[in-house]
Amino acid sequence: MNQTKLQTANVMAAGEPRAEASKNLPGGPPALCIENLCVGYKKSLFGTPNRVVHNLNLSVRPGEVVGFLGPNGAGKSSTIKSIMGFVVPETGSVSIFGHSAGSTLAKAKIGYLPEVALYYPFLTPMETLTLYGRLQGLGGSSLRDEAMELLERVGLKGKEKLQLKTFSKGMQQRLGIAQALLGSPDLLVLDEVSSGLDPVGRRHLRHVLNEIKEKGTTIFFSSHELDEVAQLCDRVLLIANGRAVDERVMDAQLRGGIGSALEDYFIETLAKQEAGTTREAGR
Amino acid sequence: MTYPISRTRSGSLLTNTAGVALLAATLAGIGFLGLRIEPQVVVSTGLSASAQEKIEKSASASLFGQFRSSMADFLWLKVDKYTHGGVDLRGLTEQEQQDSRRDQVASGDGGKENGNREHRGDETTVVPSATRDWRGIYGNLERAVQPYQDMEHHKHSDSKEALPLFRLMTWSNPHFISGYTVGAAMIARDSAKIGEAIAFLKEGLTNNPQSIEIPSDLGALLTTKKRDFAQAVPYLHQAIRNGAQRDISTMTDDEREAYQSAYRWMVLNRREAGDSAAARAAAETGILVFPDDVVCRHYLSEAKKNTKK
Amino acid sequence: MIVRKFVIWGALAQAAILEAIRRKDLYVAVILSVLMIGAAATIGSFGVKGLEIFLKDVALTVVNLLSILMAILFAARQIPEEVSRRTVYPLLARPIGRGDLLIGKFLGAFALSAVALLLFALIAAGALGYYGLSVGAIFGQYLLARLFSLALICAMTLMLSLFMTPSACVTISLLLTLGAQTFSQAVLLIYGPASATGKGILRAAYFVLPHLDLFDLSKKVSYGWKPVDSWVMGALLLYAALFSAVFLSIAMLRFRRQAL
Repeated sequence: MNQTKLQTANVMAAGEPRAEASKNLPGGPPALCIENLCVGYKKSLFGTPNRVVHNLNLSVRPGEVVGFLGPNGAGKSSTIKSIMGFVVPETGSVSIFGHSAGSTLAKAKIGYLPEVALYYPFLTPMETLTLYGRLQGLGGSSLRDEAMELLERVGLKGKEKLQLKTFSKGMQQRLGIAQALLGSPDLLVLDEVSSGLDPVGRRHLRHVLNEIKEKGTTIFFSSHELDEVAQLCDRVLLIANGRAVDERVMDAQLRGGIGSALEDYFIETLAKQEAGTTREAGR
Repeated sequence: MTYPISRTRSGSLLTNTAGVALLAATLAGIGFLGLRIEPQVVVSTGLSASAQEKIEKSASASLFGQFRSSMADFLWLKVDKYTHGGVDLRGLTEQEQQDSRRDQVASGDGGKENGNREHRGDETTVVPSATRDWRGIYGNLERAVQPYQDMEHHKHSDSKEALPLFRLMTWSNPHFISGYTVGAAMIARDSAKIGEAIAFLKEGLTNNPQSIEIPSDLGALLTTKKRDFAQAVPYLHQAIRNGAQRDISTMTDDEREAYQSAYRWMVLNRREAGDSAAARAAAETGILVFPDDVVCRHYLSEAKKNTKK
Repeated sequence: MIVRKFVIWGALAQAAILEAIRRKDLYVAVILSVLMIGAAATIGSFGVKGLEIFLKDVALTVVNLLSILMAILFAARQIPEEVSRRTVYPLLARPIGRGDLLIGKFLGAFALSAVALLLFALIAAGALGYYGLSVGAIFGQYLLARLFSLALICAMTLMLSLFMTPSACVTISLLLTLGAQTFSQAVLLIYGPASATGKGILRAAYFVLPHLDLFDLSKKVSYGWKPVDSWVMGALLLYAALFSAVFLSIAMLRFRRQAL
């Protein structure tokens, strides 16, 4: 397998200090910069935290589309929660376009789709988008127009006045994508973006994301759907057991054999990582 | 006649809430049954004790019975607040009883209250007075928002206004004997309504044929207010009979008092009716049960003197 | 900046109100109050003369009870429900602080409780008016004081909902709210015979815990007392504002670093 290792400044490996490197990127601060991130959850008030992300470093350039891959329980969602400021890291820092994660300035630049997108069951899609738009600082007719346009883009036109309790999971995911795109964010953070979508919905989503990508929006997303990742990404980052394992720039070979080459890379890399860990433990 | 209420009288939101729920449930239940609620005090036919017992053996009836009973208790508490303009009263604690500077509720109407009870000098307001309150502004606020007044020389509102509560009480719990006796006493304050008071007591007796208090009060009313001595006798007999069937040591204070009164009224009734033999017989029987009874003793000693003369 | 904050809080509160209306929570409460007050009003069939106080007392107790229940139920579910159904994520992904979310939710719960209170009061006044009973000028003060207390109850419940499960939060809030008067009376009773240390503890407990019974003017309304002095209303407003601010601050401290 022809694997091209990136040697650029934003190639990250576990534990490597990256602060200086990321600051020196051309064109201002990176869209996303994670440095020495450790995330842990306490089970009780005085208990020691169970660490799920260990010294993670990564950086995403503005305009880049990065896939964040890893098996279940690898720490993808915890990392994304740190990016959004939903969890406070034990150590390390996360910044978005130079603003500290979780700050209103950082969040003003992000559009976010949660892993399981559930919305107020008693509101309509239009009311939902109006609510998020007002929180985003939008309002008036421009918000209404943008909301209508987004609903049309995600295929929910004609369903603006239905309460969300009548929506299928796929329709809710479409609404989730619409709300993430509200306010034309500079960075899209998508957690399990194609979850719940049927093949038609996926194709539609791919189309929407490609449009956004064309406009130069930075996209950072996690997905189990490797075909999805292969079609969209400039680069993939692999994470396992809370540690960055590897990363690759998507090349023609990796992208070409959809459903096989990237999948092979994913599984083989994780197998190597597993074997390495076992050897370490044996010694 | 005055009737002491011996229960605690402070009603919290919890008790109010429970009471309101009970009231609503009871009223709704009765409403569903389609019973017509009469606007005045009227006599309804009660169940016999055995029929009542049979019905109350079922769990649902028992539960409903408890509802009714608690409802009556709730209303009973309300009567006292009602006559005090909403001011909550409570008994004195042991420490307060020994403290000469205590806040004490005293009647301002010279002991001749219109209320259904009299203050016996062992009560105080639930909300303390400013001089005895350690809570500062909190105390001032409570005295401002809750019905509160200096109860040292307070007066009562006309307790007749509380009559409908007694009607509700006995309606929700037909076995609530105090409801009948105290309610009838209040009705009887109006001399024009003695008949109504008697009808109310008769309803109570129909519902509680084993009661000692109700026939005793009936006999007393008929004797003193109606001066219908002949009609009073069967009721006084019933009270004495019901009392005799019971172990006196298991009687409540009210029951014992009513039992004793039944002998006294019988003595006075027969004396007024000119049947001195029956009066003497009643006094002799009464003194066997209540050896210290002053009325019976006095009558017997007078009778003895008269015989000597 | 301030305007932006109000827009955020307003949007969050509006969503909470819209949802509660669509969930038909208010309808259920209104039906319940009509049933309870209506059933109690059948007492009027006994002839209202002599039962005025009792009728008012029952109607206002129903209003008190249901408005407290609604406030607690509205406030208790605001944040936990957002977290459990994951709607909190797209909300907090917006450029708003967690404090904004709390205040918006508090305002939503308070507005809902206020609407519920006014509806119940309307039903009660209607039922009383049917029998020709008027509630007097003090009724306005009663409603105002209840509104103050609902703000306090919403803030307290919202805070508790961040520390415990929703059912525990509802139970504790109900105990604190409905047991306030009983607690006050119990403290007053046992204060006298208590030791010096005991007195200190009782004083501390008394002043630390909120006294929601202070906001209940219903007895004065029922028994036809005159309106209270304006300083009383001012003090109640201050008391409610102070305790609400304390509860919301504690809630913010807790929520600020809570992992979602």
